[in-house]
Amino acid sequence: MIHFIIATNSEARPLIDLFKLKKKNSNKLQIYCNQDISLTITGIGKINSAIGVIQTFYETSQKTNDCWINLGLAGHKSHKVGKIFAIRKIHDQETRQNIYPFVNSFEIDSDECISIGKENKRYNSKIYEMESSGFFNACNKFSSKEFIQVLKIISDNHSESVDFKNNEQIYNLIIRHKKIIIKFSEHMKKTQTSIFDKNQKSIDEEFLKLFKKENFTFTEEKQMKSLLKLYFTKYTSIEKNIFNIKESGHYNIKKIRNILRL
Amino acid sequence: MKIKTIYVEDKIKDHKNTKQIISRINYENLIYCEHYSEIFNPSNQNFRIQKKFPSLILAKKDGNLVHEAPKDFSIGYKNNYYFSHMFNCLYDCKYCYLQGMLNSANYLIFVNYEDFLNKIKKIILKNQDTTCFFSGYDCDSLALEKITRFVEKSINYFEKMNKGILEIRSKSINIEVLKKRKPLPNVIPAFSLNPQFVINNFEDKTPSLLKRLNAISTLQKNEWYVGLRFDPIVWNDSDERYISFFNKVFKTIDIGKVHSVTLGNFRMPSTYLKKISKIRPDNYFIQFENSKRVLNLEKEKKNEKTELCIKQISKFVDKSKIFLN
Ligand code: SF4
Repeated sequence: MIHFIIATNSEARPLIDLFKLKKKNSNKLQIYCNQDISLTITGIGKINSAIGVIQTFYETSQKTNDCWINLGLAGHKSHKVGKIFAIRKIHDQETRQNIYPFVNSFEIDSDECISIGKENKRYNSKIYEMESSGFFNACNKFSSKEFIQVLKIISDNHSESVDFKNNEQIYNLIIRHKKIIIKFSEHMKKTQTSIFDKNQKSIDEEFLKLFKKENFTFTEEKQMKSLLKLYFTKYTSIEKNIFNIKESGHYNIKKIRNILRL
Repeated sequence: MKIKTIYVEDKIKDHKNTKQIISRINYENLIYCEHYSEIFNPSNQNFRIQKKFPSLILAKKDGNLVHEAPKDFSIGYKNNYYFSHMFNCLYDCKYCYLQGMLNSANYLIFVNYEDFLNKIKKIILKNQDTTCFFSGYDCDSLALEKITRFVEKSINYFEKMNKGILEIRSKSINIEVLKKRKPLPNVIPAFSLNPQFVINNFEDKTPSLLKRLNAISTLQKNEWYVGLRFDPIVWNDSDERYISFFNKVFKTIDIGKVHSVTLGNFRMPSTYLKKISKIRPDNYFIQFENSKRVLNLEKEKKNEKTELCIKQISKFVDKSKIFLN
């Protein structure tokens, strides 16, 4: 699943329409979903963003190594308003922590950003915004860093700015990048499936399908799971009748070891 | 060489080697960092994905630069040390222990070569007997030489250090740096070899056996004494196929110009194996070894196989040149 974490309603609206997302029943945050994508409106700032990530995790798939994208508006001294960037370095101005999101092979302009705690209109040579550090740190609890990305669209620079109260202007600024947003998400998803779908079987599920957990000691369960993993490197399915579900873990381990000649 | 992203530690951005390495790379992003560990060390990153698309990190190595080698790690000298001026490599061997040891597959190069070489000099001067240094312990020594030029600098240094031996271990056929200069008796290019069917199954992206053997022959024709490293030997087929492999090796190269031969079985700390089994769920060999670990099975009696290797190798090379690692 891909999770979009967005600070404000006006930034979220274009993506809700783009991916045809439906509002989910959540009494805390606004979460929109379809089968493959969720979008959460978190409120401004890194703490809100981090809370949004955690809440999204527990209210949606609860799967580790899902893809996470923080998309939002940001300022810069000279970048053209409307330009989109992937962020390759985040500097948290308050904690002085540096974070380096994975630079993947997707062709997109990238830049560094400063994640600030309070709104500030003093432009400098880095993109500045308010969510990315909280977002990244929270996501990294659930996903490997290759599946966490930050996309920022320039909303203001030293000579011009969007009208932040004008929802239509913000909508247009974001939706014009719909192709990039779709392709970028697909690229992340493809990377994720190339790694994790190879692990064809969930060994935990296979184990529960084949055996009664109570017949195994803790160590035996670990051993059987390791042997099942080995088995599935060679075969795609396993016959239930190889084992005797009523027998002990020890007995069934012996059975599979015979098959594997181990 | 094309690498999209280079990370550079602030403190070495003006170092001569940093500038030279950067100038040899066709990159898109140059990102400065305080310390390489900010990128290299965090635990929640995926080695397999990074291996497909690695970045380069240039840093300064502080602290302990040269380490004593494990007790049995020797090619006949009393004092043995190793060092790692680089972590990770171009190749992608399924059995590579770096996947279990490191969190990141990015190439990490320590550009303060002078500090490594100074430390080596101190050790040589301190020890009375000859001291052997193994490079390429956590990388492949020659594979990235075109951008690092570390081997070139080290060889020049060892030319003046005749009580020091330098082993350059590699699977690469990138031997220009050795070919273009006069051979040194205290520098040993050493090539890791396995049968072609093992290379096909386990040593992704590496040069073929034939290409490695040709590289060895070329160096020997240039009067270099070469080390042969059957380490790790991956047992994956009948004994006959290994016998014919040894025959092929020794019939292709000049057996008069073999410096030493080492033999080693696949071995890995249990924590590394556990980690690799998670990132290579579909690999039979890794899962087989991991199951043995989980089941606490007695280490397979490998003596028989080792005996077979020694018997074959000693048909061509004097036993005094064969070492078990
Ligand atoms: S050549 Fe050596 S360092 Fe490189 S992947 Fe293979 S085993 Fe690892």
